[in-house]
Amino acid sequence: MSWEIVAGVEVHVELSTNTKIFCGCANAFGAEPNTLICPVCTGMPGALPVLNRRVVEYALRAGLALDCDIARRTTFDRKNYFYPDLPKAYQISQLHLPICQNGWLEIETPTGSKRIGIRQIHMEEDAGKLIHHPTRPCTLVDYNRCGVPLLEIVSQPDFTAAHEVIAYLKSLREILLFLGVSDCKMQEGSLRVDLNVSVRHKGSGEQGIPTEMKNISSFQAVGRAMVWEGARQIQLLESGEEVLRETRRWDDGKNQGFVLRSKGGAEDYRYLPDPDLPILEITQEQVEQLRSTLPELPRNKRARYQREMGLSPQDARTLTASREVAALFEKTTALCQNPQEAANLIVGDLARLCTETATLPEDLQVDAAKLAALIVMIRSGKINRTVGKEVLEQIFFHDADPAVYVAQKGLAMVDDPALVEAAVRQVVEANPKSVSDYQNGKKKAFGYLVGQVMRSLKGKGDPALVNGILRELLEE
Amino acid sequence: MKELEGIGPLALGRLIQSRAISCVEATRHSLEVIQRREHQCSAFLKVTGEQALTSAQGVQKRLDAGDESLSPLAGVPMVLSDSVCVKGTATTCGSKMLEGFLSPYSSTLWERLQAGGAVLLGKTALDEFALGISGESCAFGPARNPWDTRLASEGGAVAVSCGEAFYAVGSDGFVALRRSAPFCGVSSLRPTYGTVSRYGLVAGTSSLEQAGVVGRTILDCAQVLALIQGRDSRDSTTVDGPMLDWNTSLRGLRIGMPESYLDVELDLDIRQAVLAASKQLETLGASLVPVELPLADDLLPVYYVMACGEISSNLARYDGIRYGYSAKDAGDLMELYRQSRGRALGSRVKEHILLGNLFLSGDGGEDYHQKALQAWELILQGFEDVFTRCDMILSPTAPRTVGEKPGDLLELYRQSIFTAPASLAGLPAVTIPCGLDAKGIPMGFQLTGKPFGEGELIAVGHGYQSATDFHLRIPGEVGE
Repeated sequence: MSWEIVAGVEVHVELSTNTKIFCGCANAFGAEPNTLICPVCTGMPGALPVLNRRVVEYALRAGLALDCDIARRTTFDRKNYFYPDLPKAYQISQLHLPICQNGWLEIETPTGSKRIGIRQIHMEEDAGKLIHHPTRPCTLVDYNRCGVPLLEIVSQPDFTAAHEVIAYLKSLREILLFLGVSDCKMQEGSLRVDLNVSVRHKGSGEQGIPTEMKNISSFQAVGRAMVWEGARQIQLLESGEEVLRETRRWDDGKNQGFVLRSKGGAEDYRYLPDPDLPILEITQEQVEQLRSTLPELPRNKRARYQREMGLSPQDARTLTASREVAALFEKTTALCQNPQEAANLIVGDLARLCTETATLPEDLQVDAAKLAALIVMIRSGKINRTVGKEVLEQIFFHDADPAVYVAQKGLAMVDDPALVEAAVRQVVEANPKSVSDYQNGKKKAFGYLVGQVMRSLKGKGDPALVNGILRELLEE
Repeated sequence: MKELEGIGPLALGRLIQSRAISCVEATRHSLEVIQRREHQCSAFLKVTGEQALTSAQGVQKRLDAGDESLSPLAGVPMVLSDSVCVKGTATTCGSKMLEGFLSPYSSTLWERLQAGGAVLLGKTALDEFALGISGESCAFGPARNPWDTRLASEGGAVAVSCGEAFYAVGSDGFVALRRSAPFCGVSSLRPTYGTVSRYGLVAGTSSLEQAGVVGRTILDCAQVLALIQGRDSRDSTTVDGPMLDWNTSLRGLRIGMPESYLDVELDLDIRQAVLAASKQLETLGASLVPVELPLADDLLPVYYVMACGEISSNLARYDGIRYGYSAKDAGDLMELYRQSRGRALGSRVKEHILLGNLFLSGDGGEDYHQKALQAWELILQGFEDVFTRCDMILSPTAPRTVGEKPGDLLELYRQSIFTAPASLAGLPAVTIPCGLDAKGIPMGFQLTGKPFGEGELIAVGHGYQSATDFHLRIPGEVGE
């Protein structure tokens, strides 16, 4: 009988609110240790949490985008455990009444689309960071991250292949970026993935004993961890052993998981409703108001780009790589009225510039008005495509104004018929051999003469005009 | 200053405003009394005399400059229990765990008092982390009841009783504040849960505890409550308090006498004194009606299961890492936790933490806490029902005048039988002295009101105190 690997993921994302979840300290990455702290987030005696309303709003946005049921009443619970990075010795989280439940997200797989269930989304606070002293044998604690707001997004165990998990994570990240609730940077820890893996006989529907894998540093690594852990469990079961309920650490360099701790009965968080935070009531109006302000999600954008603008699926996908890219495309299109040209420019040369400069799609900053102006200049024949590339680079690197740059550098097409005619006449006079070749039926000579005219016009001759005038003179 | 003995904070405030006495003189008076009496009654964990004089000078300046943000109690010397955080000063909450800890911020209630011109004399003794009924478990030794210094008491009640301070504010954590006040011959007021901010009160039983006030008379307490109550943006559980209107007539007020209390074993003297008080209230126009408390037999278990669960969670932050006691000789992290907590927390505190861990534990024990929460809902509903049949509930403050027996947890529970229900249901309560027992120790009764019913409680307490003089007796000094 063949085996099936079953996986689910818990994704933690740090929300990009200005302040922390329960106090007024700034929510920022990379500050000097212990500079963004106060009595509340360091657990001083007597300090009390006050919920940041923006966190609730962000959680609701995510819940709505993932088609969740929104709780009418939601509460916070304390998860009690001792650790030096947790100053209150409990994490304020949501156990009993999480803010969102029962959602789903559709992913594309080689065999078609598949719906992945979202069990719940809840709000909680992040812990601090332990830093091992560089020279002395001791550990230091940085509490800046304490109280940074987190959403934990828990999927159903609906994944049966690594590529599904990767597709889910990519899609989830894309949605969160579009919602503007998190910057989802795995390398800065603002998106973290824990993977639950179990195995079962294919088609049996039974539930194997799952293990949890932590410390996974990329989406691809999540896929590798799933495959490795599934194989490990199958090997255990086939050799008559049992899978133990344990937490493991993924070492991507070694492509191997290691036991972090055995769960057994020892993990008892003594959950307790947090008496410092009252029940939060969420009204229908609040939900509807937020729903009406939700941005168009990438999936819907892709469909619309193909349906209404006639773009290819590939272009539509590239253009929705981030909220910033999509916004740039839409603004540029609105200004130049030419979606295909805008798409070509962004997917082609602009994407190349991003790759060359290692600019992430979400960090792209280009003025749509300038891009649109460039497209209009190319389309109207004011400049040719080669010059267009040069102008785009100027816009990308120096935020140059295309009209000003083209004028200053004298890059505009020569579209004055008199100037073009003078150049054509000179070339015709200087190349009698080619002229007679053409007149004797060697049509290839025409291209050579056009090239000579273009050379004398330094590449800026309007091709249509050059062609027309040359043909006229040769036919005379 | 003999003429200041026995007067209330409002009267002193008027003397200060009329310039009959200066803020500094008032503070000096208190510091003199403290010097005279402290060796017997040990009300304070720390007297901050110099700071008090400096702040008195500051208040006097504000007064002379016509500062309108000052309260009617500006310049009146007072005390805070050591569970209330004041920026830059020691806050131990009666525990070795917090010895040497300086609070980096001030509680909301102290900020409000300070804005009104309160002069803080120092911090008073209380049970370790306020987990007690009599102040007995204070790690630095309990305050002493000035009526019988063999008995432990909360420091705030002691300081007011012997005239060291004109009023005291502290946590009614368990119930020691309310229980101690009448046993020292003074009055106390615990407001409706949520009407005074807990921000900056060292947390023990978050759902159940509330700041309270001790004063010689219940009107003294009311004046102070008016200054500290009200919604606070730093405590999400706060609401605005009621208008403190105590001009209600006692005529027609229905005072409930819980039938279950008749079976409680209590000192004969207390039974008689409370019955006499009930007669006095009848004379003043109130009527007595029998009532049944909701889940009467379960009130105490529910209270303690909830309290212990919250205590175990709230006190877990004392881990020896950031502040307070830290075992310097610990070899690793687990040893640091074990040794710091093992050495610096008292046995009472440990008992409550262990019980709380059991009640919250997922290993079958979660049932205790879950069930207690379910019962709590029923109790809250039950009290709503009780208050359709009466306006307030009369009871003794405690079954005995003697203090607790160290180490006897069940006795501690039994001693809080009358005071725990108000804590559990978040109800306002006042305790009022009503006579001396055969050993010469003051006794008291308690009135528990409906939510936001502080005004009526104060009215009844004031009516009673206008007709009696138990609250005016000042304990004598040894050698006097």
